[in-house]
Amino acid sequence: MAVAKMRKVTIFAYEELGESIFETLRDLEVLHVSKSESYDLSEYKDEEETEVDEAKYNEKLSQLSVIKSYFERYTTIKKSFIDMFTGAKPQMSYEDFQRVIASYDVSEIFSKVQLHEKRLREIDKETEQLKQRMEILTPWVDLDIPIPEIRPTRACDMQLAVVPSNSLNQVSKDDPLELVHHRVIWQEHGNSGVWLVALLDQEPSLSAVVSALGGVTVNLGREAAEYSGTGLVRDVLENIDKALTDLSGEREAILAEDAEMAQNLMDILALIDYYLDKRNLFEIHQEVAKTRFTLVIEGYAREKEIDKLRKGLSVYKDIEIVDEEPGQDDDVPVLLENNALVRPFEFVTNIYGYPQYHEMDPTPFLAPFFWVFFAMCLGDAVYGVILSIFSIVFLRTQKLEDDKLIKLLGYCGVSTVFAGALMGSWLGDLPKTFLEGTAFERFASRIAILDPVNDPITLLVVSLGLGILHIWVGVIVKMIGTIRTGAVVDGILDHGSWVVFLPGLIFWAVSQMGMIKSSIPLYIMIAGAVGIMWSGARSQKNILMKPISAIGGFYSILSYFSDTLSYARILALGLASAIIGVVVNMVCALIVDMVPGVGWVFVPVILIVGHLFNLLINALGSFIHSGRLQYVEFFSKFFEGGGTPFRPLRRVRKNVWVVE
Amino acid sequence: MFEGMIGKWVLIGCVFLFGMLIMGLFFGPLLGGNVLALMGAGLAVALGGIGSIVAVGATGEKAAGMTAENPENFGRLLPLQALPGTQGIYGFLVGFLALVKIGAFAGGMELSIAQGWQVFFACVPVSVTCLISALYQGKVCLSGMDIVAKKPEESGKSLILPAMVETYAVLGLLASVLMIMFAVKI
Repeated sequence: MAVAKMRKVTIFAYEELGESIFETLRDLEVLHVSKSESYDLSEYKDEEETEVDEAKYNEKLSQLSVIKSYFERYTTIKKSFIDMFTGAKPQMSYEDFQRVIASYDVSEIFSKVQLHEKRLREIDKETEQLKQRMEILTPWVDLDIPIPEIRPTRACDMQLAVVPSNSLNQVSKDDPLELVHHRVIWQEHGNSGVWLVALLDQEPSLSAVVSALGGVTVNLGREAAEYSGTGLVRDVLENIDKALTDLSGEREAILAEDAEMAQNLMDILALIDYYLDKRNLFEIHQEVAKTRFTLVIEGYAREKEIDKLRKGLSVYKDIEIVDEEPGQDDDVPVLLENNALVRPFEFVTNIYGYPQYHEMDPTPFLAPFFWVFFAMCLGDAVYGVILSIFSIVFLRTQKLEDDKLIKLLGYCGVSTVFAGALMGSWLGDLPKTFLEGTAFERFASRIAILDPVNDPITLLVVSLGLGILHIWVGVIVKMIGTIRTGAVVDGILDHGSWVVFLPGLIFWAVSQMGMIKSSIPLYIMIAGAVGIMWSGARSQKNILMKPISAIGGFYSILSYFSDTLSYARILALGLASAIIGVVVNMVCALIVDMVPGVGWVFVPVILIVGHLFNLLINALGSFIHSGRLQYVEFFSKFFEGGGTPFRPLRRVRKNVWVVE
Repeated sequence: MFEGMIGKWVLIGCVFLFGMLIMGLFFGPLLGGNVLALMGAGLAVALGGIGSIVAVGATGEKAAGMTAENPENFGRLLPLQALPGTQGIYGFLVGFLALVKIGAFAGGMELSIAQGWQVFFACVPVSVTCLISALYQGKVCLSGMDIVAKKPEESGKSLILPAMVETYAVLGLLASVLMIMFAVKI
């Protein structure tokens, strides 16, 4: 039905054309390459060059990823908030893409980046060291003796020291230290930097004097060594300052160059895609069956696109393409094909998985139910309008790889308008709260035939009724599916009996309540029950056990019952969104009452924020729970799934989208 | 870490519930029916809220870490974080309905002790189911985030698994709403 017809394609070609053929196939985007099963040519395989090539691509990719993360420090590809949800990728024209591939030397940029990175680290380290030296030297700026001269002479010992300021006073007064000449260079925080001179052979020695004063000697030699010049502290400082300026200049230059290079981040992203694509083709090339000189590519293509494939490959003369009907045992990839109305609902199916190739596509069956369930769960006309408008605007303004979800929301928005109107919910009970007595309010209340808040039982019955219908359709689909595989008797007896029995049971129950006066439902139910008993007995070989199996056939009625109850969630979710809407309106009304006059100012804010919140959280809930009803209650009746999705060979588009 | 804490939060919920029950039992006549009803409304909001706070907090933490790793996943992670948030809303909803029922917005009314208890017990199903289901749904969401990390194209599936847990919160909500609307006689 709606699973696209596939042809099994086998391409025989010369191995030397392999790379080019795969590139053509990639651009055609029609062939799903599958692992070769029919041809085992592994003994002829040529192992030599493969590793080398793969390593080459991997090296380029790892270099590119280093470049990418380096560039991303300077710039990012700006993504709008919306794009974070859609996963939209930046675009690039095909010409630009070709130019980038042709002109870029990845290794060159990589070594440049590495060099820059290393140099920047060095600059940071050097700057840090220089700053430390500066900090040490700065206090001594007034010292007018060149640093290299501060060292013991033949007769004198000369040193710099930092001593506590108060101990300094003792030096002049106390007798034994009078032999030491000192000059205070700086004073700060109770410490003093002093220059001390004493005779070499005196007792106590200069060092001992310093430690007796509670100070430490200072050696500036290391700090000054590299920036000698005159050797004066102030000149050394000047030199350091100059060196710092040079370093920061160099740094600025590197950063500026990098920032300019980083403008090409897009190119790097494109290159990453390019090499990913190369590697992907290479890997597939390695996987297919081949000998040293020949190549066999196996895969599947849509029946419709076989001509496109043949035409695309017609540029190669020495090539043989065979297409045939896939066999029963082939793992044929699955592509869903539905008309424009149903296609968005494939999104729901795909969350669960893909049908097997020989199975029916459940999408057309679940579509109307999902459409209705979502609407009843959200159940507000204005929310529906908002969803639809959002969907239209989004589709107009955004380029999407996969627009199914957005279209689905748009469709469900339409049904939500209907459901909301039927339940009399327009932004909750807004018409009643603020538009009492207007024509719109009268109109809204006239078309409202269901009231989830005041009369939930009716809605509960409607929900469960839809649930029974849903399950019943599931059983019918199962019956048709079984008959299609050829097991006509199985289909009719095992599933057809339930198809007859279930409505019989329901209408019989209704007639028992006195709403219908007819005994037809009873006969239908009995007919179905007989069928169920027959199908139960049929499977049992032992003649004595047959009656028990016949009764046992009714066991699944329990699961039908609990499945049906699960649809009560439609009412619950509908109530939740309706009541939260009411709460928002009520808060508005309260504000207007509490703050007379000015209260109206807050109303729009509360209305918009409150209802938007309600819409978002309940749209999420409605979507998920409507989905769940399909997967658990509906699919369990007939659907197996587990098919392989059809993924034709195509360009890798991880980072950028190349447009022709 | 969060997984180990679920028991603790459930315990805290039970303390809330039994604390209010005992308070009502002993001081009910002193407090009056209105207070009993308000305790029920408060219980629904508080327990649903606790469950959602803890679960949304834990899922948000993981989502933030994963977004730091790969910002592209943000859009896929956000719904997973929001999922266990609905229980708090269900709790609030029932609390609000209880307030409407006792006429809090229409000038108020004097409830008898029995009527107060009716409202209180009508609030219990949603309180308990929301607290526990939010915590466990959070757990499933945390695991679902691994699907997003490892197979981003399959992330739709990660949304359906937590919905199974939410079913029981929805049923609790439905039970409480129906009780308040139809079973409570005021």
